[in-house]
Amino acid sequence: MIAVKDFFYRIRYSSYLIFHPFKGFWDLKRGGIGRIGPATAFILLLALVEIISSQFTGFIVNYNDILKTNIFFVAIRTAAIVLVWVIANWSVTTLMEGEGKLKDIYIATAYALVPYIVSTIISVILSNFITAEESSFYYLIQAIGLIWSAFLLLVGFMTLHQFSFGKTIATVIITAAAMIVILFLFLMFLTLLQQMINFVLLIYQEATQ
Amino acid sequence: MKNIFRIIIVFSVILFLFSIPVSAAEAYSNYTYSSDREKQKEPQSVYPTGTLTGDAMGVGAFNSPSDIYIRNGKIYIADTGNNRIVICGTDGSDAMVIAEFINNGKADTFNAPSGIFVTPEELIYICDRENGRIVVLEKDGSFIAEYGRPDTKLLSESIIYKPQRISVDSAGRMFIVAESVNLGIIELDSQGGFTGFFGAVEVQYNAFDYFLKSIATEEQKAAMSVTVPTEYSSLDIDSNGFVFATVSVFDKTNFSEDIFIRKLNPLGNDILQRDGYTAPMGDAKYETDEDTGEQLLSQFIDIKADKAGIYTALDARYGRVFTYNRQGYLMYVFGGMGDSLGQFSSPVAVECDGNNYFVLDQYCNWIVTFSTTEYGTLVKDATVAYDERDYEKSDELWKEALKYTGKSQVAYNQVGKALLKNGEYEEAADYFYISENRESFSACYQRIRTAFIDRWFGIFLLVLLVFIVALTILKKIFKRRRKNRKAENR
Repeated sequence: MIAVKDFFYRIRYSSYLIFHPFKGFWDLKRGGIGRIGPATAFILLLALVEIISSQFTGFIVNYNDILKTNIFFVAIRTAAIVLVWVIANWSVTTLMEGEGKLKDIYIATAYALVPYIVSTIISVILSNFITAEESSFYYLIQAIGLIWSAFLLLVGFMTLHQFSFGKTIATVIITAAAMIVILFLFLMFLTLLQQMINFVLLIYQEATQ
Repeated sequence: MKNIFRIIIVFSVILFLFSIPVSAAEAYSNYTYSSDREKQKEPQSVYPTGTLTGDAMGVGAFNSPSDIYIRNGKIYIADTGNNRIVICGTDGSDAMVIAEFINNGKADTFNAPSGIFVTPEELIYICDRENGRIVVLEKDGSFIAEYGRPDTKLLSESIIYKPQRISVDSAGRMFIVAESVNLGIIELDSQGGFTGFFGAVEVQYNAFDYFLKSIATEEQKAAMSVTVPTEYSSLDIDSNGFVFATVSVFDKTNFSEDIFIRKLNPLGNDILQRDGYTAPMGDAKYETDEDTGEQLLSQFIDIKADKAGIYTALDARYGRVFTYNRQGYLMYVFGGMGDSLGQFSSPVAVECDGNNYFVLDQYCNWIVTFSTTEYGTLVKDATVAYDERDYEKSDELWKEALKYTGKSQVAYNQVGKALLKNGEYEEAADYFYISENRESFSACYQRIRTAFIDRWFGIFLLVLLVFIVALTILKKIFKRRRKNRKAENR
């Protein structure tokens, strides 16, 4: 019972954090409020919200072909992007003397995404009650959520790594590049693995014939 | 025993024969494009009914004919290779030949007549290509006038004037497409005087090109300015005086999808509606030549303006005939390259007469005749009814057409439009949802929402009022109770 209460306290802490980011992120790490569990809950919620937005956004602003959408793919894609981001940022900031550990980065990213999650939920609901002329409200809410989350990410990383603003921007740009490199390596690994499997299978075939 | 063997062999041969896959007759395939630019198979709309040849008409075989025109139930054929005009009924009967006419007291003949147009008064305008003139004849073949090379310096002297296609409006103004003229359509007044070039295609600059030009060196600029000139290939005029024109020569590497077909108002401005899932450009999915890098686009060689804003264009590359409605939605496609009936070797001209289509095949020296199927008739009648603002009839016909095809987004869209005009918003919204027409869906939704608010807002207010009143009363009751209890406790 206490564990559940504790969990929800940490979840509810996000409502304080998004309005007071500097103190919020400080306490998240130094005050020991951040935990893997609640952060993972946010990431799962993000994946769920992405599915909901692809399926239930109103027709007028939803250009997604519902018949061709694979919701599991959407969820995995969302989670994968966040995880790659975390790993790439950790790789970069470790080299640049950032103070954040992998766990801290993961938690900070999850908490920073809260405005995006909330704005997506609001815009999905709204999108079902608007006409094409009013669609700018939908895009406005989405944009607010995105910008807010981006701002929180920057503040979060500044506090976490004890970076200056300029250095944070630089690490974010390098992180984006690192994400591409990670994707490339991953694809190359897959291709090589596939070729290796093929090779082994071929030898097996030759040998058994 | 032997007999059993024989039976088994015969049976297996029969089974084998039946198991050969019979390929679907692609010759008559009809399709439209759906909202994701994919080909959507549709029921056959137009089927071939036969061919018309010169031999069958009793006037001798045609020789590379290059244009036909239909007016008042008669086909006028420009029989280019035989230097003659053939006139016959739409079934090939009562053929008549004009090979000679008396011009100023002397016998005159054609030299490769290539374009033909007939006015509602049955005056015949002929592009006498190699003679470089337009000849106007009465319907019995007697000579009226001839108009030679337009008297203008705008037409470069190096260009030999070879008129190819002609259309004439109700005031007698002539619109002429001439070989290798890239300034536009030549416009002559009713006396043959040069008025100007009509509907010239503007050179389009985008911001990036402009930026590139501003930083390029002189040599680079020279290399860049090699732009492909734009040439019209054919034209036709509708009953309201709008000129439908096809463009066949243009820059195939950097082109706008709006260039293929143009509808020109009397000022020469393009006013064609392009609301369809693809622009009226023939095949929206095309391949690229691997060697030259050229995009293998549809190449329109002729166009026919039908009634109710419908127009039919002939693609010479793939031999397909595309019919679009006024809004630019693809209605149906027929034809194709090949040897079976209904396919062409070298199609050059298309005409339409009611529900019949005629395509002239220059290589085969015949006219292939087509008629619309039940489905095609429904689609066409429904389109015409919608254009005549008979929305109920249009709705009925489109719904009938939807019984033949459950997938046609064009049909759903049209039913939706008719329903919208009739004020049945909820149902219309469902149709627009299927046809992915977000703009019209939104228009429907707005009305549904307004109706919903009108219906429920009063009741909502009433409920709110009752709620507030109840709340205040309850509060008062509780207050009094508390007071009483306090009093009792004391």
